[in-house]
Amino acid sequence: MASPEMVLRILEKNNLKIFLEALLREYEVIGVVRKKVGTKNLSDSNFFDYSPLEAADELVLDFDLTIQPPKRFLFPPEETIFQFDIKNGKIEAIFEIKPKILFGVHPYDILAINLLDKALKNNEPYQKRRENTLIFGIDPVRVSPFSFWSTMKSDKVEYGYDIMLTDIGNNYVLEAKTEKGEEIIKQVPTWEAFPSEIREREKVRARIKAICDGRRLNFPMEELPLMLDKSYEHPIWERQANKCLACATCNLVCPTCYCYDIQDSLNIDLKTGKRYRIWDACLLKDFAAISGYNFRDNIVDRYRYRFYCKGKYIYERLGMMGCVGCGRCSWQCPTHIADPIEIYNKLKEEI
Amino acid sequence: MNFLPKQARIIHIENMTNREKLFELALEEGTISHQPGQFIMVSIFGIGEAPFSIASLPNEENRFELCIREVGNVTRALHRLPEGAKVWIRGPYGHPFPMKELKGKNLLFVAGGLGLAPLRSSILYALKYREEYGRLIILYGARVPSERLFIKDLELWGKRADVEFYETVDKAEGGWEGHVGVITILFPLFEIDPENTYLLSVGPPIMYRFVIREALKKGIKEDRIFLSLERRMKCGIGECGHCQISGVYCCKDGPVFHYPKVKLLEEAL
Repeated sequence: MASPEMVLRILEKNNLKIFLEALLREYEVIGVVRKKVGTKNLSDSNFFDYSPLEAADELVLDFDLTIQPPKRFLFPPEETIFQFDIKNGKIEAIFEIKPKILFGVHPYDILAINLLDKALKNNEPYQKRRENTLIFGIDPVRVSPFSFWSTMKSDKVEYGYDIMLTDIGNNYVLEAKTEKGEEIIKQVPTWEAFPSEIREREKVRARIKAICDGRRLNFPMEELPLMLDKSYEHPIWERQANKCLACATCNLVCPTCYCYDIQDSLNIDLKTGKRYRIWDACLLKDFAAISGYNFRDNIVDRYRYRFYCKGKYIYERLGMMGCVGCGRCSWQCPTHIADPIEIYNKLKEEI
Repeated sequence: MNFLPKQARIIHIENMTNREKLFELALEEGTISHQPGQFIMVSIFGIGEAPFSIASLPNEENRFELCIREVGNVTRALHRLPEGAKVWIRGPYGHPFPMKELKGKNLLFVAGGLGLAPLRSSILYALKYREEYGRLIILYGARVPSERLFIKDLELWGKRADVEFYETVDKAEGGWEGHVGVITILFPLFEIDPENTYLLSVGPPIMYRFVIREALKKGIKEDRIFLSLERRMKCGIGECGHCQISGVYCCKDGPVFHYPKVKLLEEAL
């Protein structure tokens, strides 16, 4: 925890590059970069994603929404648990961690990481990687048309980051949340924020929240579990699921989906191999299948299950809403049926 | 570190039916220390891992029994292993039947098909501490006579004066002279004291609906019913999501559930 007397500091935008270059010398820095999707020049692209930074000037901080959440840098899609040698009857746990920084994480994605911290609290590789990752948050200055994080109360986050940056025009306001964050800020030229700059931070936050408020639940978020309690047999599930391809894109891009499978692979010598953890997805056909029986054989059961998991089950188990309102699922669903706002509001109107 | 298994040796294999074998395993190091109703993960490297309920009596030794039906990749590979072969196990995991809390009570055990394997551990436990329990009523239903499991146990239970044992098969064949029909046909054959009887049941999903209905008709209260549910346990520690029944993890909150809880879960029965 940062010392209570830690005050907000101001970093000139011109000094961001020096800041980043200093970090890049010491850490692997994962930041938001432009992705070349459908444009001739990279600089024209409005698609963003997290990527290990090679140079300071790759970093983009005024992005609206990244294609994928930063989840995969804490919880890789695939990870070896141990290697085995069948002949000698030996196993060897494999685990490597490198200290890194996630640079430029919006509050809703930090909340999603806080949720993963809880859901995976007994997962050693995750926890070790998490302990060795610094998170530098950034308040959004643009909002994706798909996002609804304000109605999910994900515009603000109380913990789970080391430094929070807010773009107030020519400067960034820097808030250190942890001692590590405080130490890092000391290494760059900053000054103590003036009250006017602190007020500006609040204005920026309020302005962007107001934009995001355009897409909202027509009832308080806290009522979601109760509302779902009454909606299990509603025809909307069947109607929407008729268009569902069960492709699991919604799972793949969700910052709070953490389900996984454990599998083996043998090397070509057929004597050695590895056991690994790999992301899995509840929309896929075999997710709940055992030999001879599938507990969610129909798409409608899997489609509905995901909305219940996000709006009810995770909340009941972890005390945090399973949806942070990023909007990636509705953005990337190929058949446009994944928008939680549309589903939840419709249910509220019809029950 | 989660997920690191320990080595175990297959010390005895018994063919039970065309599909099921009983494996006796011994851990190379340490004890199994399970409670009735818990399960373990068994691996064959290169094939994978699968969950199995422990069928034997809890003990402080390294030995335990698994009744395994050949039905998927891991079980197919297990069925091809000889005595002396080594496998890897981790666990035990999960919520057991509350056998200690049930001391002094009458117990009604209802097992359908392969469900006898998980339930056997509890039955053997109650028999070991026989004087500490009230009446023990055991109902067992198999599809056909040739699929009856643990025949030696069934015979023994049938003979014991202090056990009320009833069994049926869905379809008679090969000179079967016992009851024929689904397991619920056994319920009219005995009376119970509804004030002191608890139901412990393991069977296929479809069986529960009918067994619960019969039990309630006999006056057994909902909060005196315990069921073991089967799902795709993969991690065993309440994380990977495969075994989720609505909001609960079958591997951790179950596999043995108290019926009032199961009743609230949309996906349970």
